[in-house]
Amino acid sequence: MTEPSEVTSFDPDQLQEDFKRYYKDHFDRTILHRIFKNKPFGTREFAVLRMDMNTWVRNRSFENMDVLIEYLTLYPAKGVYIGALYEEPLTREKTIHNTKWMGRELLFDLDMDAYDPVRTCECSGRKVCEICWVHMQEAALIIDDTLRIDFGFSDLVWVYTGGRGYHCWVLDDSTFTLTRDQRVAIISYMQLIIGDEVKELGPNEKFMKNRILNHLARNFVTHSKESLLKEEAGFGTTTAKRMKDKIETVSSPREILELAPNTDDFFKGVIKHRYPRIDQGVSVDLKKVIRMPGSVHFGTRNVSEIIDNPWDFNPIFHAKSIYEVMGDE
Amino acid sequence: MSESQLPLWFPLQSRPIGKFKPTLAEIEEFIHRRSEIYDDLKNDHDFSKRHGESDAAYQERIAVDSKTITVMKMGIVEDLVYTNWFLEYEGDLFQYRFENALWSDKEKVLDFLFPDDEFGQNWMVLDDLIAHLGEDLIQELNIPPLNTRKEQAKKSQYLTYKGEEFGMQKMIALSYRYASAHLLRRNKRIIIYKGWVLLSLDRYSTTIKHRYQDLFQEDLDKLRERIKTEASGEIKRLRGQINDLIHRHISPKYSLNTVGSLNLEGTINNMILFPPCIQELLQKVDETGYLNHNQRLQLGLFLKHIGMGVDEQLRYWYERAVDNKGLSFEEFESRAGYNIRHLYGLEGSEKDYNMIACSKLQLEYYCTFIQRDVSGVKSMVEHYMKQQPGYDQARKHPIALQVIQNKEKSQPKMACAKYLEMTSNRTVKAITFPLQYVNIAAKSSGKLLETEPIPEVEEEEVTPVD
Repeated sequence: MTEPSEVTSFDPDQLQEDFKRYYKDHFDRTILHRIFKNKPFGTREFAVLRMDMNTWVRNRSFENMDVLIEYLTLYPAKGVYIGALYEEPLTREKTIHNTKWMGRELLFDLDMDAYDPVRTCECSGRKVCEICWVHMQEAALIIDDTLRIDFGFSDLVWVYTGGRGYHCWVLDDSTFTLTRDQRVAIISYMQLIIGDEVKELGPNEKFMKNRILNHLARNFVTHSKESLLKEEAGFGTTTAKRMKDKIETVSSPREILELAPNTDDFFKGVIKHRYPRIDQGVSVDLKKVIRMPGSVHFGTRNVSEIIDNPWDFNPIFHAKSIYEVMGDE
Repeated sequence: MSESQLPLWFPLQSRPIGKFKPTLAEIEEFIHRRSEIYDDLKNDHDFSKRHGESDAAYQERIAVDSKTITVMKMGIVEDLVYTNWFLEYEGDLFQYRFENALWSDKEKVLDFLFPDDEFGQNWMVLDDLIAHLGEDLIQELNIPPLNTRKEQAKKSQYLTYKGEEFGMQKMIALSYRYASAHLLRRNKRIIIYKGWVLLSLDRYSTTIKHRYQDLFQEDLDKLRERIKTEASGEIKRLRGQINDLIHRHISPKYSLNTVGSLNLEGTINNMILFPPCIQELLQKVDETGYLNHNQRLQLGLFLKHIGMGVDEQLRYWYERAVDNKGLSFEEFESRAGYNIRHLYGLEGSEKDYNMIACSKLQLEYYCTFIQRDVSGVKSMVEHYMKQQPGYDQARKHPIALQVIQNKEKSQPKMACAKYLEMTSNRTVKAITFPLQYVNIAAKSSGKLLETEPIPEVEEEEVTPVD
């Protein structure tokens, strides 16, 4: 069993060799084929955090997969990241700032440390456990639903980052050349928490409400202490206890709401404590680099992998370390 | 869509206007008539075919409209302030004509504004969407029936009801790619389903107008590019003459009641204390007279929260905004004043609006370190540095470099903090609130400004997305 906690002691020379060996012999190339589909490889930006130099190398393009793997085999990479697609291969002279941007996938980033204000366990920052990881599972459910049903996207790829969160890659062709404003429009619709503020529901109010109650209300009640239910959802002590008992027996959103003495406060509490906290910057920044699926997370030594059911996946039990993948464990 | 099918009043089509060499007197008449229409759109008599009018007579009449647009474009295309003014008023005129056009004409205009692309259609009526998806959407999505929509329009002062042949209550499905953030975030009436944004046409009016204005702007940009290669002095001279006539006919009606040039001691004179986003917006207002809706809101709220009173702010905008063309201060106050008073909690819901936090500005408003690219930020930093005593081009200022590096790393809050450090010598990890910037800069300069509690700064990771 591997816990996605940070590894703190290691032999740096051995680690460099291990990472190089991983990319040489065990990196799953089909992952990048899946992500890039039929888009050109050679004009994509890659960024590498070099282990040997402890510096960033950005504005890199690789002619093809073989050249990328060769690089990662020669130079140990603490982190490998993918950026946008450009008109020409990137070089020292032709950088992302002076080369025409051609497009990039629509991305969503979910990170556990965004949930620090609302985690009910002892974890914070990079630490995750079985209890708080449920936030990630719920977030994936809500986002997946919203993207498929509301926006009609069908080609979604969920990736466990190897650390403390998920990325969602929307690979539908229609999203590739979305402008920043168009991405802002999508994220504006989905974003219900900005800073500490819970926004009012806007469009599709009824659908959103049902979606939120269906996927999140139960866990809000069962995972929250009675004191929180009293403070946030306007429950009295008796009602809070009764709610916790009854919540497992009800099935429809309306029944869940009917248990709450103050439906508005309750609903706001559900959003505040359970609704996805999306890093909007990742979704709207056209040139952001994001961890390459299939690469290794330096902190945990886990491999970032595509996950079919992010609402069932739990890294405590399911994450694979680089050593497992290489058969060393 | 063939352009010959578009309604004759629709300007965004290339239509031959024959040999056209108007005299200055004719040009002046075109401008005068156009400004009358802008003053009151009901003066727009020419756009629709009159009852019993022959096609030939209508075409001759509407040709004047095309000539007017041609003349106006020539006169303002290189005048940035009047370009924005022109876009605003032509947008309003288009909206008026669109709303008053028959459905058959509206369909053609919508086909033009939202054409099919490689992903398929970008707009359709509800019935077509139902057929396209093969689902009973009316039931599934609780779409209000037509009669309900008609009744709402009849009762509302903001919606248009004109009769079924005008189609304003039809449910329209627009591709999400054309829906603005404002629409998707706020409008409770819209339904989003499978990438389609559903709303009745009367509620889509502003979105359609904005789309028209975007295309109109592109048209002007192309004209500007063509003009650059012109050699003819005669044309340039004529453009200058037309521009003069426009300025003469359509300029703010300053009266004795207007108190000269506004002295903004304590506000604009302290611009260096303001975050770069606000400095840029102030400059843009001065240079072009125009900000988009969100930028106006951002600047308006900022000016309010640094102590500018409502009357002062009304005069500020009157002095500078394109909306003042042809208006006295009193006329401007009665039109634009509502929005400004609303910011101060003096109209509508009377809510006293707070200044917007940086996280929201970065997403939906204007943030220098988001909207400007790296070369733009570099120019801005270099421009500041060159003005400092002892500036040495050969020696790179470390803090200035850090501003640029944070921009390159897509860390706007830290880039802004470094910009503050560069200009005021005060160190802070990140700027999360525009007024935070002002308070720190003011303290550093020794100026006394009203203080607001400086928000806690969140830790920022210095790495790309993990």
